[in-house]
Amino acid sequence: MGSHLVTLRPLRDPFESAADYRSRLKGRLLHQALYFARTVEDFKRPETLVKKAFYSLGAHMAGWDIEDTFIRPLMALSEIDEIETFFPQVGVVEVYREREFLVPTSDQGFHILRPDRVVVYEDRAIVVEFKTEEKGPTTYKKHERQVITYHNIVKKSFGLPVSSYLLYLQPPHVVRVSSE
Amino acid sequence: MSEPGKIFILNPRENLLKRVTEEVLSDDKPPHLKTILLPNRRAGVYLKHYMAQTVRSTLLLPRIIPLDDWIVDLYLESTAEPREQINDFDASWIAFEAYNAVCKASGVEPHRWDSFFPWARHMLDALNEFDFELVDPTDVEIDNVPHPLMLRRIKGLYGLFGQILEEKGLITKAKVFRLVAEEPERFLGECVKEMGDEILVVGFYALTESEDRIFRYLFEHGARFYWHAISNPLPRLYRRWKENWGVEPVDISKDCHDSPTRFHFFEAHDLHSEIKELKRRLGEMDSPRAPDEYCIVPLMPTSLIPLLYHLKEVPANVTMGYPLSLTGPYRYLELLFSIMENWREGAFRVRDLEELFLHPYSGLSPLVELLRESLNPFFHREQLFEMAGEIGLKKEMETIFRTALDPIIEARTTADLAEALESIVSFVRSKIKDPSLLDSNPNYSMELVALETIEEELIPLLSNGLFSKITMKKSGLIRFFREISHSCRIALEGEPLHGLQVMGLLETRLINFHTLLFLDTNDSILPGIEDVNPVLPHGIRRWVGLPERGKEELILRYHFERLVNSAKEVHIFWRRQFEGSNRQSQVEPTGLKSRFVERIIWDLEKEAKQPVEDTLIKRSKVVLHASVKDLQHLKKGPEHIEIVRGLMRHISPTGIETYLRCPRRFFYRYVMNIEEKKGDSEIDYGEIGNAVHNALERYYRRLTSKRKEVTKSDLLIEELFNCFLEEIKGKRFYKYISPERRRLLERSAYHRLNNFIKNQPDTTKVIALEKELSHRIYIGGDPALVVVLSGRIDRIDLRDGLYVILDYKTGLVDQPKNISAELIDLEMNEEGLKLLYERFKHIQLPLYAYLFCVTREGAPPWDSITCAYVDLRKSGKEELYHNKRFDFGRWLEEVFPHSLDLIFRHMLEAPYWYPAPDLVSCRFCGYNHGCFGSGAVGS
Repeated sequence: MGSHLVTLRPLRDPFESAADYRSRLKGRLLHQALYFARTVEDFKRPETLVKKAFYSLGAHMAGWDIEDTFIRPLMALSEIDEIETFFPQVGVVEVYREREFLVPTSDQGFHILRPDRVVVYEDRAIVVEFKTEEKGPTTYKKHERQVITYHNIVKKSFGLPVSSYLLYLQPPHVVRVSSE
Repeated sequence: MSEPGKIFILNPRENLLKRVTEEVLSDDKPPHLKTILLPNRRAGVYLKHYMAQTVRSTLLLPRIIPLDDWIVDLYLESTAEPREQINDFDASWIAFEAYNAVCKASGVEPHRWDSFFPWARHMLDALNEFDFELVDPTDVEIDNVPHPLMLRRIKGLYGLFGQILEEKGLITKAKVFRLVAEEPERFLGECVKEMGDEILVVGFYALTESEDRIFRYLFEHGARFYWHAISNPLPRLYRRWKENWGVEPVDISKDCHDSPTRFHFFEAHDLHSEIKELKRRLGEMDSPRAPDEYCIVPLMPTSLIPLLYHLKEVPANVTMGYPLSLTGPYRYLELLFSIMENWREGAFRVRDLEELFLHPYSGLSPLVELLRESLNPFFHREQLFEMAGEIGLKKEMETIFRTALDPIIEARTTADLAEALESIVSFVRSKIKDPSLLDSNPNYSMELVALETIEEELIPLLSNGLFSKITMKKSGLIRFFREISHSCRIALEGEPLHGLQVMGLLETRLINFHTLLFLDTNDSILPGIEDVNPVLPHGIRRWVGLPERGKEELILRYHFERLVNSAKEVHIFWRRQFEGSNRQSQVEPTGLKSRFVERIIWDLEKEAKQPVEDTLIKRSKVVLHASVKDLQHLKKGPEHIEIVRGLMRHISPTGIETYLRCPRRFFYRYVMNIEEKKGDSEIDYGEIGNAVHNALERYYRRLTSKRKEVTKSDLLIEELFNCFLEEIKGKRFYKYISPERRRLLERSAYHRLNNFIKNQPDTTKVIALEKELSHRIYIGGDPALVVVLSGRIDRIDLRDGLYVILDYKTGLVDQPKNISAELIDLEMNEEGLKLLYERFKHIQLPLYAYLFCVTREGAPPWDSITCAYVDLRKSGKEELYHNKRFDFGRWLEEVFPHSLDLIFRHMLEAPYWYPAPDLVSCRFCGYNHGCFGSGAVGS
């Protein structure tokens, strides 16, 4: 029964603390709110985005400081220069939100990569990865590697020049990631 | 206006997901512009697998999404101010509020949540069905037939339910479906505007009215539909779909020249023989190279854990909804709740505490012996702390109380209960941290999956529910917790995809496997018994505007037959019997194979033009009762005779009576030395009998220590009863029964002992108590055939020169009717046994009388002997063994020894261990289930 050969389902860290779990859930909810955002205008009144995030994940709003935890960080995004490019109102060909990229593996299997947002324009594509945790030296390296992987896949898939970004929510700022 | 779409149909022999992969990848338009709607998640994982196999390079996938998720997504995307979609428990609360408002308006007393909750669930099912089926219910009014208020006001109830939801900014999944189905342009318009033909709807079979409306809109805008079925004849619900839409499906099956599916059937005697055979067959197969090679489909969730235990060396993915209520952590919670249920006036029941302390999570097993030795049936917390302190476990005991018991004791609302569960889960996790409690890889342990489900699903339901602050009675709270937990399923999803698959039947939808192994294909499991909503029983549905039920069996039949037809090899197992009750179902499964399997066998027989049962169906070879069932009579071998001769060197009346009542029972108990199964009763009636015997002996010894004469006025019920209490308190069972049962037992004993005293003679002389006697006889006068008769007489009185042998009976007294004075002779066969049984089934008393006479010093008192049972069960009276005018002494002297001789000869000479001459004996026999004797269960 306990053999690793039998997979029941991917599990979270069994000894994760309640605080860690809540922090992870907060991250998921913010990602989901960003999933529903269409244009930069949505960040000026993000209450609806937050509601949709909670409703789509079946989470309860009770027990959260909605204003501090969700509304303010999302509103702050409208102040970022690049945000218009990530959430354009016009001129875009297609936007892929958490769309899956399939990557076959050597053992006849596959794995799935899911960039948070890929914005395709006529002449270029943009990869944006949202990060709800703070940027630290070790986490940044991890985030950078992740975005470079997405960058290469999007470049291969669309045959367009690609620029890739990490969008940090706390504090709100953008880091352009170079694939070189 | 775009072109309408198409319906494609593919024979299940061909892999639909592979075919969809081909279509998607070979199309002019890139795959990522497409949306593929599926009925479940697992099929999507396989679709991705086939895409990976086909492209072998990175691919931006189409949007692959289960229909339910897509509809919710559309609703949220297309609504500026969406309402919160609530779960069934919150929706039940709204249904409850709506119903109470209806009651109030009708002058009916409102209901309490904790008692009405199960009804609210049923009511919600009905309200949801109205939405899924796009029905506006009508009130039920049938002349001269009384209806529940719910049905008479169902229209108002439905309206009020929707109104409350809207006022609170809430919505149900069923209402989301209704909304989208009734306004398809608003929700689906944007999707189909540019890419209607890029939507692929794959593998749906039974549709609700709202799904039908949504699909029809997609179809009219170019969506492609894929059915997985044989085209002639079409499964019934596809036929209906085709007729309703007026569309001719296009058969895209290639000419298939594959060999037909090969079936292998196995009838097992129980679950373990099923799994043993399955394991044997798996052992003969190659290791799985692809995830669509082998799949085991356990149809009962209870089979999963035993199955996984046997699969531990085979790579396997498990994908199914597994009931939380079957997991270890849930059983621990259930144990804690049982303790609270039996908690009375601050005291805990010892039996519950024993179970709690022995549980590995509690780690208090050393306390169990102390609990037992204390002889207390109930304990207060202070006593428990003190006891734990004595062996250095006080800290552990305090932890159990602080983290588990106290939070439950103090809970008044479900929010309190959620806090209690959080505390208990954290305690259990701390126990699982100890590596000795888990095996080498905890990440995949069912315990952890269950804890995660409790934390992420159950606790939020209880703490955030609309009802979470409602104060409930303890019993209501516990019932509510059980209702919620029993509906909780752990979503097991074996990923990454590899190895042998273990899947629930519905999880296999759309997938083709090379080899399938079905477990538990018994009728009443496949298909299960259809749940009938008591709010909308059959016959009422049409009155409120709903279609009649009956789709469930059609749906299951389709999925089963599609799956079976998709495979090359199919192994079907079922069980002949089921042990214990099935907690997941109200109905005990039958030992019959499923009617779906019968259908397969019938089809095979039609094809073969002959019966195939004997050739195709293998059966488990371990048949526990076969050796007894097949022989009408057990042969009495020389080794048996040897044992019987040994037994005769010290044979009691009970042994002789056992033989006369049933030689087979004698054989099991005395010759084979098999312990007889005792009843499951909480009260040990044998021990009560011993306590009564001991009490009477002690009491009479005290009375007769100075003088043998005992008058009726000497007998005092309080003193006798105290003797009884002292005896019974030493009995083990007495410590564990509830105070109510104990009081009842004591009152009943008092009453019966009082009856006994009332019926005692005015004066008697007690000459012996619990007198042990034995006497040697020789069968047929043969000195080699020795029998030593022995017995212990409860009491011997001397009354007016007559010796009275008394035997106390606390059980049923089955009085002998007539004693024949004739000497008999008989054949040593079954007929002879019947004759002996008729005359001597009550041999105990005359045997005592005989022993008393022949062991008496001087001449045996044949002329002054009698014997009687004392009926302590009811009347308290002495019941003479024989009629008063019967010459008992002469019979005892002349007929009885001859009869004894016949009985012992029969024991030695009869060729078989015959079954009981009287079927009634079987009813109370502990060997009943395995015996197959005259009146046994298995006969």
